[in-house]
Amino acid sequence: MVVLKILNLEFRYNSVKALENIELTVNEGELVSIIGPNGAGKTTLLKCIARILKPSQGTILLENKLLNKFSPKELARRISYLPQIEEPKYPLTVLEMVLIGRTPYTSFKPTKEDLEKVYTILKQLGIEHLTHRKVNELSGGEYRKIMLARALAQQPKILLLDEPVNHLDLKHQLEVLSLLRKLALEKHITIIMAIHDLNLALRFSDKVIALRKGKIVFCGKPLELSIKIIEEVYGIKAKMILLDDGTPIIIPYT
Amino acid sequence: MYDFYSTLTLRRLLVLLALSLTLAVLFIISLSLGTATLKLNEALNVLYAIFNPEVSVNPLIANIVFNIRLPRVLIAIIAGASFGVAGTVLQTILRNPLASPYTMGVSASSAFGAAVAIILGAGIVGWHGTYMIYTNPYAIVVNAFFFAMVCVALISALAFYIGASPGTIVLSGIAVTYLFSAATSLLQYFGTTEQVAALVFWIFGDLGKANWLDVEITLVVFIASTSTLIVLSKNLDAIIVGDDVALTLGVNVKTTRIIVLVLAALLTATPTAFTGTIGFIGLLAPHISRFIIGSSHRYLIPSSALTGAILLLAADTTSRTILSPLILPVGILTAFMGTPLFLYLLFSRGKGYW
Repeated sequence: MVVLKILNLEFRYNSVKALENIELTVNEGELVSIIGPNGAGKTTLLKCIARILKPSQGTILLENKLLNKFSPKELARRISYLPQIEEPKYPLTVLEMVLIGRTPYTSFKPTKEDLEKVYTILKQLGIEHLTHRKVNELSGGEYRKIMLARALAQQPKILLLDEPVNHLDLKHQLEVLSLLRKLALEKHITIIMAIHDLNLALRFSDKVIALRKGKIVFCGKPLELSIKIIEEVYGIKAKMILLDDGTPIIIPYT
Repeated sequence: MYDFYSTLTLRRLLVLLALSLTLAVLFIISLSLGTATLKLNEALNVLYAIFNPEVSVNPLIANIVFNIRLPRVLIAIIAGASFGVAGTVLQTILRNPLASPYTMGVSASSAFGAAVAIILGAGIVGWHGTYMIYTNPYAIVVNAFFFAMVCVALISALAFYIGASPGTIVLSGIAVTYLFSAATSLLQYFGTTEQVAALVFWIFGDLGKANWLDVEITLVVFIASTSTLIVLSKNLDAIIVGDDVALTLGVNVKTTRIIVLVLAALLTATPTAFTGTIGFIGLLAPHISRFIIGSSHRYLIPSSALTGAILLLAADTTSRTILSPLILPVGILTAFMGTPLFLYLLFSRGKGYW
């Protein structure tokens, strides 16, 4: 089932085109990775889908309905967004921070149901031991997971993630991506993420989108991505090796 | 988990209760202290007599308590609470620990308003002549309030139409502060010695000027603004995480920011117009409250109100009694008492507080 459809999308920062002629269809439960060099428009595309930025042209359809037709609350119950940089500043407990994700559902005070949802998510992410800690005392990786928990507490149909595994060590990177994989498969949550690590993108995604200077240069299954496109998108030389199980590995060289 | 959440809630309610009790005790003590020191039960008796006319009290004591001390003590409580709440919500929407009502230019602009009234004799409600401060004290009040609101309207318009970021708002507040300070200095330069002295005294801040009408006006503004802000506490919590995320949580960030700016301005400008500039409470009370109760606005807003009230009442009571019968300007005392307390809290928490 098609959950998100983007037609002829264009976005300008003042007069500079950041996105141009973007056409994209995303199915329910798909895990989509957006790759591309810095400044290619990955974050801008995510922000347009999250309705943080208003496109200068084009159409975005969510569940076959124009994105602009959703009320803020309706949209908040469908799409959640995890930005690239977030700084822990205020002395909030982890529990309260994740409860903020329940904003589109609560009126004034969190209910028992809200608490239950939050606890389930903290457990899923394996961070229930952090519940009572202050967010400004956590490590970078722990904080990242708390933010992911907050995004999940929103019970989104579409989860937009900007560099979800930044600041995480190898083990936690794999853990988080496996969890996202599982959420897509079992809970049918559609996940669209901007990610720099090509090997993780190829290994975990159903669909890869390569952006260069605001345009889509590739959109398809990970195995269809040729080394030539990678070389063209990033302006580097690279080699692709297939592991025994068929997972492609990309090795860049000068 | 539920246990942890209920413990957290209970602990916060207990903190609010403890603060309320502290304020109540301080209230009675400050009513009895002063040039004429009363016994605690004498002060209490007058309070009791207000609600129960059959109780007989010494008319002299009744006069001191009801007409002199009670308005002063009440304005200290309401002004302190207003500054505390305004500082808290400004720090949140501007995401800046240095933000306080005064970084928004409120003190400088209301001082300018007072200067226009005192030195030029011009009130926005008419021309009063050079000696208007003796004939119409409300000209200063109206002027101070008017210019404070002009200043905040300027900054809010900037925030709304240009969509200025929190950092830009803080910087424009500082710029406007310099502008109004310079304008005030210019007026002082041309004023007579008496006028300048009157202005300096106004800028020091003095709670003794307040009468019952002033108390009622500030109380109405405080209750209306603070209850609106408490209703908005869910939005304020979301804004902590950042504008983009708050938007995707369904919060209208721009509107919330404007509403909060205007309410914070009202909360600051109203008491300031009656009492003169009293600094620091708006910065101190929010931080003390965050230390003791955390950043959840449902609890943080009431606790900053209580903390602000306690701080200002304590400072004013000290200023009235420490060199009695001389009454020191309360603004001096808030800084002398507040700074050591603030630095102690800051350093005792180490580098990781903000």
